[in-house]
Amino acid sequence: MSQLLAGVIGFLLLLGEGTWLHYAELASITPNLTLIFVVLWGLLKGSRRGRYLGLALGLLQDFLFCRYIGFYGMVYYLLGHSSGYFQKDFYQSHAILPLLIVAGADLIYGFLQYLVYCFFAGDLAIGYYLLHRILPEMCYTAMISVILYPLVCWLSRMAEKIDSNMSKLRKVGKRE
Amino acid sequence: MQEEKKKRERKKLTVRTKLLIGISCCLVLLVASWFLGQRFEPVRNALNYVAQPIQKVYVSVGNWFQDVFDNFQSRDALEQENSRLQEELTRLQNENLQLQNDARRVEELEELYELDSYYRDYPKTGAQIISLSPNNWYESFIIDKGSADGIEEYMPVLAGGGLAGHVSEVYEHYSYVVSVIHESSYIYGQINRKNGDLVAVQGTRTNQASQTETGYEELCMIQFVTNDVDITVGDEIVTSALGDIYPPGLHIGTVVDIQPLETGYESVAYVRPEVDLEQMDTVLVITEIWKQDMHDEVQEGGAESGAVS
Repeated sequence: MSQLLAGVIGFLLLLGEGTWLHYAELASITPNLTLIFVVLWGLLKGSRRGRYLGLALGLLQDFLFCRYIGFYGMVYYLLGHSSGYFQKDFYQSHAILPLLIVAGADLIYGFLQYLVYCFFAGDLAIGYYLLHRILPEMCYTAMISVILYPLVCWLSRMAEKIDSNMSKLRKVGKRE
Repeated sequence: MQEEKKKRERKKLTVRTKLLIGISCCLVLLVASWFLGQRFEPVRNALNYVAQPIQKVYVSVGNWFQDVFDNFQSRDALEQENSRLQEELTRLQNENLQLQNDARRVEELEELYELDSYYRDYPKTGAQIISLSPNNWYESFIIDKGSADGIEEYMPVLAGGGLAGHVSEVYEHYSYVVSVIHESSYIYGQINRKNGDLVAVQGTRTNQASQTETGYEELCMIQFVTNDVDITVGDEIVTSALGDIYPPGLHIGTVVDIQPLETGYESVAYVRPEVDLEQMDTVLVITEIWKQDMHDEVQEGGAESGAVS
């Protein structure tokens, strides 16, 4: 249930990336909200939920915006899964570790995009793309993640409440 | 102890196999969409049926905020702009008169020489931009009209009086437009002067772009042999009749900067396109395909995919 809620919120963020997020463009770079959400969700909820959310949102992005389907699904799947590995060794009050993990994830994401869009198309100027696309996007995304982190924490607590309520309801239903 | 260990190992294995299953699913989808892209159209249409209303709400809310923001601009700036526009208006009125005279003369001459008019009025249809591409790597956008509205692949798209790009993919109620600043864009252009030189207008992609100052990402570029082409800052670039996709006489943009390349005898001119993608607004699609052989190719492709599905 809570996972579905996360999926819907992620979907709304994904659609926002193509539309209102472009008003927040700095030097024609936009932050990657979907990636922030997937990574933080994996961080707070563990690998399993992280990767399912990543797969769902990635495939939605593929179907809505890409000619070939599967690339973003795979990337978000792996990022959501691997951010779950950090779940046990951090406290929610610290915002530094999430920031670093989001930055790292975005770096990997940017590099994979470079491979797909440029390297395999025969453009080897990685220095240029690193300086003008990957690193700016990483910084911007990491900064936004600091703002979004408390919100996602709150959402995750809400999700826990919803889940516990649901399981109580289920138990009551079974008893009767 | 050992049982627990075994259990844990089994659990680990299952996570790994699950991961592998997920990845292989994505890979299968990737290969499948590569070979039979049209088959996924129902899924895309269904998803878009959900997404499009949300995107439209987003865009209109964004535009509303933009308007509010613009209203906060100081009065001085507006007054200044007003006086500047007044000046421009008088200048343009003069120019317009002159052009009208010219147009009449051209008409007379055309009649005289029995020529078809070179710059025709193309049939157009309006469409709203509902989304830009969600990442920083691909300059394309989505419009809210598709094959149901008569849109076909390779139709030129205009915005704000200039060329915006061309339709690259068509679905039932929406289609993708590749913009002129996209890295793979290549347009046959011409300098808008008497006997203007022919030039190739490209999106910015290559290494050369990295050597100029910021702001290049929104620009197109023209690479040319310095001594051969007569081009200066402020020149207007229009499409030439050589291209396959775009009809002649469409305004591409204005030259804003010229820089020599390291090789010595070549230079790059940067062209600021008319279209401003951040102002998400309506565009005009020319519902006519410029070259007939191109059109036939599209038709053949359409028939093929129709036969498959």
